[in-house]
Amino acid sequence: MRCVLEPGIYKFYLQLSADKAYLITGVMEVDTVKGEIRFLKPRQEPFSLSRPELEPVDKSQLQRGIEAR
Amino acid sequence: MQVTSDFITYVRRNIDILPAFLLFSFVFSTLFWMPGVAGVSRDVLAIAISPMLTAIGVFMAHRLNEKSRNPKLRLIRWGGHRLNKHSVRTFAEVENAPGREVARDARATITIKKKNRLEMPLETADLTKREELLIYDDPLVSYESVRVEDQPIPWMIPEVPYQSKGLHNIALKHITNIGPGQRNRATILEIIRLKDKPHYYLRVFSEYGTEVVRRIKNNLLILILLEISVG
Repeated sequence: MRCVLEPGIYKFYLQLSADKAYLITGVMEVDTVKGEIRFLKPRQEPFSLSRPELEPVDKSQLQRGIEAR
Repeated sequence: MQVTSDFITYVRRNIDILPAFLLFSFVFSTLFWMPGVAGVSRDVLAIAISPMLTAIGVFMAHRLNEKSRNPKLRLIRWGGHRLNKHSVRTFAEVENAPGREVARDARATITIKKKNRLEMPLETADLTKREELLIYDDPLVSYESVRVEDQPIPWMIPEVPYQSKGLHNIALKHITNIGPGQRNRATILEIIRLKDKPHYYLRVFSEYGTEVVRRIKNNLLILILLEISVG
């Protein structure tokens, strides 16, 4: 895992490369304030985190879930 | 606007052919102005320049053919899939264009910026405190100098022969090969909805993949084995 971010608005720049291929880029925005992920390049319909709503989970329950895996 | 942008991109990508094209055009144009200037017969001139034109033409054709066979990656779509009722994972679906060579050593990297009014680099305050992380989460990023720029993310189907081991002997999953017309997905992050504040847990993936690595259990196992061997 790279890092765990606090809720907020973050822009993710994605770069894709391969041997002998041109570099291509994509941009997306994670907005936990409005509860959506916006895809800016290539442009695409946003992904809502509230439809259907994610069920909140307790951290300790999550911990137990990971341990059970 | 998009057409102009595409045209500029096309010209920029083929700029190496431009000198050859200009030379070809210049040599070819001598057929028309040289006879008048130097008094040379057009037939003699045509015989003289035709090997040169052929050589430049072959070079240009070779380069264009090579370029048309090189792999061409395309970001087909973004996606999000619900891992369970509490969390969602986002990914980018990448395709290598049909009729091209295999896209070898394909890598996906991310740069993260915080967005207020302006885009700012990440700071320590943007990261969830170490003591608030889930027990198995062990971030690679340094809390002292936070920087997530051009950092690799994992492929859903990494190329097995390329897998080498990283920290704690964990297999790396950030390199793959994509065949012509085939797709793969680069997984970016997982968003977990929490009951208590801060309400969301944004886990950004690294080259080590998406799954939780039970390093602590492994360490315990090593400790137990050591104790058995010593005792």
